[in-house]
Amino acid sequence: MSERQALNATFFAFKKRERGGVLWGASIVYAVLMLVGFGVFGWLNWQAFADYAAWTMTISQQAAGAADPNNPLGGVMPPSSVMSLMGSYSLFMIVFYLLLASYEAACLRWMIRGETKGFFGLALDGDTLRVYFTYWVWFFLLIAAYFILAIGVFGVIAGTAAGGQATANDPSAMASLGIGVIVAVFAALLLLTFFAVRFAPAAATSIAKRRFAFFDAWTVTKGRFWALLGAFLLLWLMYFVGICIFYGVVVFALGANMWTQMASGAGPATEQEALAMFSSPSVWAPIAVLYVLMIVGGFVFYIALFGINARAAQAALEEGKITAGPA
Amino acid sequence: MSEQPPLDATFFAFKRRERRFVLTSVAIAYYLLLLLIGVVLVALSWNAWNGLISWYLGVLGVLSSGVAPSPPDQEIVLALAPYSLAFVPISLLLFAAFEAACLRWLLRGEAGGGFFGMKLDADTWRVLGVYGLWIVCFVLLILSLTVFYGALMAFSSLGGAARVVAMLCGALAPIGFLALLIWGAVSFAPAAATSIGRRKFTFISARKVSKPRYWPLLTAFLLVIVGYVIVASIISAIFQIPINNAMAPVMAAMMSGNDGPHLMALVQEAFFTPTMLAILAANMLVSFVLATVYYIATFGVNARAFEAAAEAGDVERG
Repeated sequence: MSERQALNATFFAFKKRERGGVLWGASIVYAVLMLVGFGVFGWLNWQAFADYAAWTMTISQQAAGAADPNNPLGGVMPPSSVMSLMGSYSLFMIVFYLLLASYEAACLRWMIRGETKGFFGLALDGDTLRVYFTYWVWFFLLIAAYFILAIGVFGVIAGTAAGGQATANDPSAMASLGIGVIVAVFAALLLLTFFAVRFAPAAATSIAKRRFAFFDAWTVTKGRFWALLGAFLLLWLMYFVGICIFYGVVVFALGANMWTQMASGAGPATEQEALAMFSSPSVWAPIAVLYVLMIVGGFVFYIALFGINARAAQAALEEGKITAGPA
Repeated sequence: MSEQPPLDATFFAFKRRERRFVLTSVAIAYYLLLLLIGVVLVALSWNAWNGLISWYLGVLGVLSSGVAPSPPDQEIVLALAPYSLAFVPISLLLFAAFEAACLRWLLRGEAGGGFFGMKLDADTWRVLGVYGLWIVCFVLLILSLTVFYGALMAFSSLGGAARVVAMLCGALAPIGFLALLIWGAVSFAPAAATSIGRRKFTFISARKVSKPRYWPLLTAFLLVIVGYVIVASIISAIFQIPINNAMAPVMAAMMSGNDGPHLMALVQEAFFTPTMLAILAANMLVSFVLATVYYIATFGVNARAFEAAAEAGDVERG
């Protein structure tokens, strides 16, 4: 096992490699496939959406008027098409996350193993399924974390009540209950952060090892907790600053013009005038450009996140902490 | 948590072997016997079931009128109780025979005999014994939880700093118990497989099998569980589309305060059509197949753990 190397993970995804544009190619194809997916879902369920809109209008009209005393719950149930929407939405979510897993697998494969395959890197292969299974394990762990937090808080309340003193007449019991709940929530947040960082490279580890290896992420992150936490915090900070700048520009680009109009008394007098103002290209074109820029920024953020995990897994491979399986 | 050698346990049960469809025929035999026992028990208790169904239909009508429903007659519940109680050990014994037949094939390559491999032999009793110990362990865990919280209450009643300590212990203990539960479940999961592999009843020795390969074993179980959840969600989502579609008018009528007979007529209209009956039958069949694949996959994980332990010399084959 060689000496531990510096991680330098924050910008690892954007390191110059032998081929350029691989990550951008995968990102563009992913974005296009997502748009197609949303389009197909909307097209297949158009009638259900129309029925849903009509149903919500009926419900709000009923709520505004007096309820029928003989049938107070009449019309509460949505139409059949809306009920069927639940099943197709669940199926869509499965496809949505499979596509996301395929995208993450494509990025990680390129960053860790320098390989591309499938359609611009996106493929429904073992790597994609490994990443997809990792999402499910995260989902279960999140449920378990909520469950543990809930029983933890319940334990604090039970512990206080156990003495039979947690009554409104006992201020000291109430104070210790409050402190206990705060300590429990704070401890839970710290624990969640710790485990989130320790298992963050789970998908990257599976790609590096060419087998599902969620728990081996623990080995990958051993001795690198602070470096990884620092990289994640730096990235989140940059993302936060980026979002602030984005909203600043939106407010400045759109708000200043409208504010001037309103201040001079030339603002829209009716709803139609307001709608007409928003349908003007001078208003929606900058919004569209900014929206596209925001999506691009989102992709950069995601790729950078994948990059941090990829770097951790790659360093673990180089140091012999984990070994790659046969191709 | 250092890197452990791969176990390749997740799909071990589905590895190609010299004979095919052995596990499939065992599974079919298991469901046939389960169906037979279910039919016999329902036939024996038919009068009680009749009463229960009538009560349920009555509740449907009462619910829509906003009046609180009455509980079922105590006589009906008491009449059903012995059959329900009898079903638990019988179904456990049947499942033990099913697991024993699968493990016999996976570990020793033995198939056939009995009813498509399902036998009431020593292997089945060993597996049933393992189930019994699991039940005892679970009851002990519940008892220890009760005793622990009882002691904590007594300690907390001392007041002052004791209350704060009790609070923290009360908050952290469930996490500890959950961790213990997962550790125990994974550590002793190969108990039945170890018993079949060694041809003698063993429970504690399962730890020898699982200890050197704890994380690969936990990962394999996670993969099987997650795989099951994914496929089950897809199947559920597919069947939800027509079922919810058919159910919507019934629910709407229920919300509008329609009476029981009218609701039943709507249910009949919605579900007693050849298409809906075929959809419901397909849903049930697919669910049974999926559950069977899940059971067999978990038997396979445990069998592979025993195989690996036997190859490494951690345990001896019988």
